[in-house]
Amino acid sequence: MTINVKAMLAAIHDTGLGEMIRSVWWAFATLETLHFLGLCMLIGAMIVVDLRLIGHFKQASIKMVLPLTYIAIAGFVINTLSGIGFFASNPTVYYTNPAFRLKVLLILLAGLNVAWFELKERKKLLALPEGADPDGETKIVAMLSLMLWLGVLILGRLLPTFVQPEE
Amino acid sequence: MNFLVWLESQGLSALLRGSEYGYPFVLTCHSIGMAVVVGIVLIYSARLLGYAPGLPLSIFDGLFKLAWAGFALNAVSGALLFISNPVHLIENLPFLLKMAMIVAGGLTVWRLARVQALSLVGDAVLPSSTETKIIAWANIIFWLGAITSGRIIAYTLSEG
Repeated sequence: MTINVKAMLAAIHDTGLGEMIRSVWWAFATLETLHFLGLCMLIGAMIVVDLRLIGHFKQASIKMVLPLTYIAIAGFVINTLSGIGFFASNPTVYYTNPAFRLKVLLILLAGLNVAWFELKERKKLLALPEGADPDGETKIVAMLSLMLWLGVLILGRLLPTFVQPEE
Repeated sequence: MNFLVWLESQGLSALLRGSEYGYPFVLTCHSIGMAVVVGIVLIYSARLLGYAPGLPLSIFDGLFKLAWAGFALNAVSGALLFISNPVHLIENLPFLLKMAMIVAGGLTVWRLARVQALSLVGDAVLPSSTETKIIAWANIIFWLGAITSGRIIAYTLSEG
């Protein structure tokens, strides 16, 4: 079975969500504002968590910093939902945009990085004696997290620059 | 106003408007600075409102240095964005509102940090007073207002 991408994009375009975001004049700008708030929550929280894992701000124990990941998750949920809205409003323009494709790839890699953290690093961190430094592997995960989310932000901001002309 | 007309006639202004990648580059810097400043400030307010109560407030000494770096990045990138279209921006209501929101947001952070410094005993801190909580909420609203009005500038600004 082959997947007809064009038909899929057209179907997403014609959903009620896509139609609503195109027709309500304040919808897109409101989603953008929410997307900005979400990125501040996500990146702000990850800066604190990741810098702590790398070895900064040692006056805070890692256990006390980890609740901030919930702020990051909330930001990610806001941005996934608003992002779905952007995509539905004009699927072809996003699908054909190389910056969008790279951004989605980086989000998937960041997701794998989170999975790695949850499956391997979190247990090690919770078993760590008070004041001890995380091992090198945890620091790599933290550094990858910072770089990937920063990359996602940069590519997102550059999306309009890489819009492809319509066929 | 004459100064702004002169500013807009300068090479830098034309360069920012005309270059294919210069303007997006400055915008990208501005969004990185925003994430750093607003991200840290939101976490600070959330902490004072009672979230993650185990997080020692002294952690924000270091985080505020980072936030200042983000603020400096946005002062510079923001000035460049302004120079690209000064005549219209100075009459743009969302732009003026954004500037007011940033001043108000900065003042509330300063106020929160002062109250916090006064109530700090070692690294233990008293639970936030009602006044502190009100200021912390106001702080969140001001920065959200700065983001919102910043976004509206893009929709209301006529071309230079």
